[in-house]
Amino acid sequence: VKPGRDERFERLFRENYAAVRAYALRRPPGDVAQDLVADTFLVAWRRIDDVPGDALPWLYGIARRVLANERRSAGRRAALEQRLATAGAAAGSGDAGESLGDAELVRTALAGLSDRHREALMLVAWQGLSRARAARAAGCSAATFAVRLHRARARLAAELASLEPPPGNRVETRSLEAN
Amino acid sequence: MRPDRNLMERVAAADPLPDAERLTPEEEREAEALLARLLATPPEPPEPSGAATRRAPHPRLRRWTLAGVGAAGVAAVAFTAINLGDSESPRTDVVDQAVAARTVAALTHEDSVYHVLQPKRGTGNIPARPSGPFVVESWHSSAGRFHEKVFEVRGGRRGRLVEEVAGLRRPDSRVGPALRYDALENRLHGGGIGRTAEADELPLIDPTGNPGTTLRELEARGALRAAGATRVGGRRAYRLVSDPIDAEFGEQRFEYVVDSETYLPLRQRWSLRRGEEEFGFVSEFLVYERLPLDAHSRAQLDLDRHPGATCAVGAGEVRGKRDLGFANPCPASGREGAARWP
Repeated sequence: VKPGRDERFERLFRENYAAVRAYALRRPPGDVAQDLVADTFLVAWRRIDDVPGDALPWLYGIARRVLANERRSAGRRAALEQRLATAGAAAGSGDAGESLGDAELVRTALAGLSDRHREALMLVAWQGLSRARAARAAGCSAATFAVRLHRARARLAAELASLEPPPGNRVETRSLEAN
Repeated sequence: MRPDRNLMERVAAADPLPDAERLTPEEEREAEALLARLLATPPEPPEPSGAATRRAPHPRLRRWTLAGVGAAGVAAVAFTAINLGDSESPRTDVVDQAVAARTVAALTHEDSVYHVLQPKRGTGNIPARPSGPFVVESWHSSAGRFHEKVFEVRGGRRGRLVEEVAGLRRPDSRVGPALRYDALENRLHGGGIGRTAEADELPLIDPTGNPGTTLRELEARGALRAAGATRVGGRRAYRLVSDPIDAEFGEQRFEYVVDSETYLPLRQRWSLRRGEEEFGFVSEFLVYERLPLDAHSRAQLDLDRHPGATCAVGAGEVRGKRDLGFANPCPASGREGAARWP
């Protein structure tokens, strides 16, 4: 055992546990969040010598891959698809633009994106990473990430546009409901 | 009107858990517990490239197994010995003890419910019961609560429910009350499960008990030993075998194959030989997971509700919540009647 290993890991853990946990909680399925955190730090514990100075993006990258593995299993995939299908059904049912708050609408639109695009947006907007750090977490170059984020924003805008009914329709719907 | 805000600001505002990075005292305690478990985990050498993306058969369980390793207090020196044993070299007592102790520790946590899914089929020349194959899904706790559902296998898939049993196998006496649901009759029957001291006609160690209890008993008898490394589905695994257990009923043998990382069972084999006769069962565990003990997992230990089920004579006399672990839906008078679910 390399001297100082325990101390290095303990410092890494204490500095990043809350952030990794938050990362896990924000990504479905929520019931595996604690397992995801444990698995992520288990990898870090075993690979403590590989952990870079700026550890958080590296830890997010590990968590992302662990989560991807989880989702590959049939059960997890089914749970995710069910969740997305439910979100899609809610968005597609009648006056979605009126029934959903803006936050719900955005989350529904996010659910309609590809994993890569959704992850790019979440790393920046929810995890609060700079684009350079988010690129490291996503396991790609800064240039690639910039393109990915740009496309993700475009797709999200398109999703939102499809979910938000034109203002005129909303008025008409209200009128019909009133009658 | 929809707020006309920057798109990224809208995404940020849609964060479902904006305070997720703030830990409550309880969450801080969870963090400390996890840290302690990780620090107690032997620092294995890094796995081959792509380790982080390779799926373990039971990823959910690894976290809990860490706790098991910590609870067992197994020293790093023992782990080193296990690694030496992987190379199929002659094993030492240290290796045997470590593998057996880790397995028992991983399977007997008191603050957990174990969920198991296993196809099971009878072996030998005198099947004592329908030899299947069946699929058995079960939940059990170290305190003795258990709930088992037996399904037919049809077309290679889980078919209809055949039978369901739930009750309490008292750890100290290895017997206890149980309620059995016959799915074909839609009827509940009372009874007991386990082996009493006088029951010489039954195997000395109950082969239908959960692997944790069985292995702990074998270990306590000094009859459990590691029998080398093997591979199951590409995973490193250890074989644990029992010495022959002599009983009035015959000679029993147990064999378990456990994952080398989680120490959770992958395969189980039990056989009983008496003269020329031999029977037993073999099963592969599709799922063997450890769930934290909470309201949800505890509820899995109860017998399922079966609308319209009737109770056979005596079913209600299997005592209530204190003994079964859940409320008995049958009339307390012990008479035949309709089940009433709470």
